[in-house]
Amino acid sequence: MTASVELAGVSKRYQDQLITDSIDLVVAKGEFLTLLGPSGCGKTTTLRMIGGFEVPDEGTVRINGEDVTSLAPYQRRVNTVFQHYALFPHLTVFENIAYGLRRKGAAAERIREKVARGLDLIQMRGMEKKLPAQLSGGQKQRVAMARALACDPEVLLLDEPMSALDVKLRKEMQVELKHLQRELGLTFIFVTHDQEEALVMSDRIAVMNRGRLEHVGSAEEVYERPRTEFVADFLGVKNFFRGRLEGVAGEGRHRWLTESGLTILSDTAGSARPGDTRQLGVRPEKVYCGEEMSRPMSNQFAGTVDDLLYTGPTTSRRVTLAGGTALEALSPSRPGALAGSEVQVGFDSKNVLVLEAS
Amino acid sequence: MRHKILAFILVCLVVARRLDFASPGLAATIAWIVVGAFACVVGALVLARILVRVPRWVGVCLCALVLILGAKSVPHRQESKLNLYIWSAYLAPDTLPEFEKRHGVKVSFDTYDSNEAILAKLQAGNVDYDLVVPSDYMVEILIRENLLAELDKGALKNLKNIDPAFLDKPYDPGNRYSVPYFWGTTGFGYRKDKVPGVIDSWKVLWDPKYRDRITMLDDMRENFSAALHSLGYSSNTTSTAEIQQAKELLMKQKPLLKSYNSGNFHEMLLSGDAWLVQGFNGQVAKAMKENPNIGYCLPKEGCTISFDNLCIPRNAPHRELALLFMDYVMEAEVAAKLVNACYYSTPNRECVPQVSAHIRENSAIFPARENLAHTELIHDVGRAVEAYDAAWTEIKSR
Amino acid sequence: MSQRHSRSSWKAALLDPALGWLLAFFLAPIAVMLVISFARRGTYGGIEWVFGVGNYVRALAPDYLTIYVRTVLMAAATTLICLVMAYPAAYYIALKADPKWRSFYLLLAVVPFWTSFLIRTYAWILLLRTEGLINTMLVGMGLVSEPLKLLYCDSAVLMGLVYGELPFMILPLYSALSRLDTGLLEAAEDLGASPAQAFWTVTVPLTLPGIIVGTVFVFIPSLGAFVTPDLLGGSKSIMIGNRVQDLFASVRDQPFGAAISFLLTLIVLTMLVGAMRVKGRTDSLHGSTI
Ligand SMILES: Nc1ncnc2c1ncn2[C@@H]1O[C@H](COP(=O)(O)OP(=O)(O)OP(=O)(O)O)[C@@H](O)[C@H]1O
Ligand SMILES: [Mg+2]
Repeated sequence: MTASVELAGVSKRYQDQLITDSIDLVVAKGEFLTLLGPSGCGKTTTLRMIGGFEVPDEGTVRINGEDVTSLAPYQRRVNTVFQHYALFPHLTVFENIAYGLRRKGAAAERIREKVARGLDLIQMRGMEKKLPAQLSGGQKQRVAMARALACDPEVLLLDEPMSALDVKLRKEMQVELKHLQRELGLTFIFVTHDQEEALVMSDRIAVMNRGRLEHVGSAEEVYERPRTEFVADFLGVKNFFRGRLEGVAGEGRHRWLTESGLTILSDTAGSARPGDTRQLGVRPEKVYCGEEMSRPMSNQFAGTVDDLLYTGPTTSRRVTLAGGTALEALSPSRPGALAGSEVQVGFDSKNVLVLEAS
Repeated sequence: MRHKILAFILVCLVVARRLDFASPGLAATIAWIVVGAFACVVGALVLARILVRVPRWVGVCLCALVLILGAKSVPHRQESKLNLYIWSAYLAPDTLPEFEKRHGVKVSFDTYDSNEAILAKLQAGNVDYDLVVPSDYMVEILIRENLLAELDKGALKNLKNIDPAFLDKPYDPGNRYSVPYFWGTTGFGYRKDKVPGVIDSWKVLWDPKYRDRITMLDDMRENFSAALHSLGYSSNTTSTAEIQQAKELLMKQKPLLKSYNSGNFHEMLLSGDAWLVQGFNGQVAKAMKENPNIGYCLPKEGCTISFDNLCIPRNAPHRELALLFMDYVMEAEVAAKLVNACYYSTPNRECVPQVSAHIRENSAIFPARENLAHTELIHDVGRAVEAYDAAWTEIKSR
Repeated sequence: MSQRHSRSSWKAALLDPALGWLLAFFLAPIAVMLVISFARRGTYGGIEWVFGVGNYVRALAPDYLTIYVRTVLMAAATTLICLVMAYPAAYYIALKADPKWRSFYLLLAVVPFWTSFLIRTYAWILLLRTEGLINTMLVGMGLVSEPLKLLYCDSAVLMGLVYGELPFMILPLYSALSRLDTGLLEAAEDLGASPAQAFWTVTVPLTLPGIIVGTVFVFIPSLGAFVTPDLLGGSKSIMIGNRVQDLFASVRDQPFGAAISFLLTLIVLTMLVGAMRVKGRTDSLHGSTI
């Protein structure tokens, strides 16, 4: 696979404030890559540099191997679905979708055909005469998609296209969008700050923090083996311990001693050597409580349930261990769980994440 | 909010600019209202959409402001005062103080720059002027409209100072209502250094040599007077054929003109922009004082003459005082000071010895008596004005 | 702004004291004018209350048609030049200038209004006349051998009108441009539009309401102008405003003057209704009010 989009050492400053810090990123053809990160971390800025709306202060942007760093947006075969859609309010749905084609001077016949295809794609046939003001949020979003796709882009950039939609519609659109991308085989660079959305849709996720890419990997990899504490935290790891690598326990496990005096066993030690300290993390859904533990766990402690948080299908429990450390456990809701009860909690050594500093 | 403010500024600008044009003269005011009104209606309609979004108090304040300004401009009567309504620059610096001192009264005055302003003020009837100074044709109108009071000649001892040649004119036979104050002629001023030869005829204003150095007054009747006189006709003709001939003449002249100019033709003469300007003697005389190379010609074919006259409105509150003032300005010494200050021709023959020599020798202000032989007053020509107007429109539309 | 809302705001307009005042002040003279326009001139000026349409027949004479055509052409040219000059200025102020200087630039645009229009016009005369500053300089530098004819011609009138009306174009355009969503321009560029194409296909249609308002603000006063053609044009090629002024001031044929004024008012109102229609349609797209 050739690289569709390639960022090499791309930095951008606004008034001495470093917004993106030497970003290196290669996106393969036909790949669905998601830029994930908290608000203000530089996702939009990165996207705008790919789209050509900002010129990086350092580094190069390549599209299909061609250096486009200083080309204007209209000279790049990249199209964008904007955060607020940016549909032309004075043009009908038809004309919005036809806009790019008209700029290329396409024949009327071809325009009609392509717009019709676009309308089919977004299932909005019969709405071509409407103005953007007469559309719902979801419809606008789809028109924005169709408008961008009508230009036959090589890369489609999507800046939080679903942030304005309600949860149900968003879920539907996520599926539709993913299908569409597979069908068309296009390169998508998708921006979101919603980790779930990122996991559902992406081939790969690039997690951004303060202008830097912290971890780029497949959805599974980023989720299961986050590289840094920031990534782990952003992807839902709630239990963190600061521990020192003591040495090797039996069965190839590594033994850690936390600040509050717990001993934790992990399967890997990452780059840590004995004596090094690392942040350790465990997902709440990997922490088992009392009777859920069908077998003894490699890390098992006694504690008291402080707090119960019922969320429907799952219940979250906060358990305080002997040394004062609190653990969060997430498990399917069952009747009878009570706050204040003494329980055993545990997690497997294979579920202990050894995290690098951000 | 920013846009509302912006819109509001815009309204203020429109209004302010329209007010700009509103000169005190009635004619200009009417023209302003009429020409401006449609622009304003339009403005109102456009603003209907904008103003409703301006807070109501802004509207109220606006109204209040306008009412206050309006109220302020209504002159209020003061009992012990003589109220003059007079052309601007028609008084000498000590004319009023001297009168005040002599009679122990106060004198106030308002000025105008068109005769129509007097008509409007007197017709409206709510202003208490004791003395007005209308021109000849306006005296005629005011008499017909019954707006003037008959003069008590017994009180005017100095009437004897007035040259009889300027009395008993057709606009007020027997001077029952008016006495002349200043008079003037409409000839043309010229630059002696640029226009050589004997200058005594309107014909030179048609000389192609001076293309683009000639101006005419922007006044229909004065233009026709020049043309009619140079054709040997009366400037008050009602003959369509004669008007047509005059029109042809004026059409022929138009390409030679720099501009039609009633305002600052004397300045153009001074700056050298124009060398031949049809104009009123008073203004040309002022230019002559500044540049001896400027001359004034009363064409031999004839020209128009006009009189500005002191009159007392019928409802003047202080008639006695007004008569005193009338008599006062006819005193030789006072009249001489007026001439020295204003540079206009006086009908007062007794004052001449006291007039400064350089003014006395100025042929524009004191023309030789024989040159006045062919002067003519402009009368209202009645229905014939439509023929004049049609011809004038044709000239102006080309 | 939805259609429904704009209708109810008309109703509100009638209740607004400021507007009521405007209507009374501006509509009353028009009504008086209409009545007078059917009367005729008294033999010695004044108004004779004999009604007829004679004034309107006279107002359609060929000479008047020539003047109307010239007036409309002058006003149209003024509007066009103002538009072409004001658009870049407004564009710069609204979209390119440093925001903290914006008010200052706007102020600059209206500063000339702090002095009287007449005074400013006389200043132009001093600059443009044959022995004026510009000609003296040109001749002095040997660039021309004869002074140029800058004053008392149609181009002087045009220049004067443009000078006087320019701010009335800049302000509405600024207002429209400052609420333009620049994201739409990026969207256009993203879709392959060059900056020029984006300008014509997005900026211009979206600022159309401002263009219309500016055009109305400039065209209508230009149509009624009489001071500028008089002073800068030397009253040689007059506009209809001069004729009206003449009719009132020197011919003293008020009924005829009123008839011509009323015809103009009618034309302008028709135009205005048309402009409001177009503007109303564009407004409904993107909630712009000016
Ligand atoms: N034009 C600008 N001038 C100055 N600073 C800017 C500009 N645009 C963005 N920034 C700053 O750059 C940083 C990154 O902005 P960016 O829009 O890329 O964030 P983002 O990751 O897209 O956030 P969000 O999820 O909220 O959209 C922010 O701190 C922002 O304040
Ligand atoms: Mg963003």
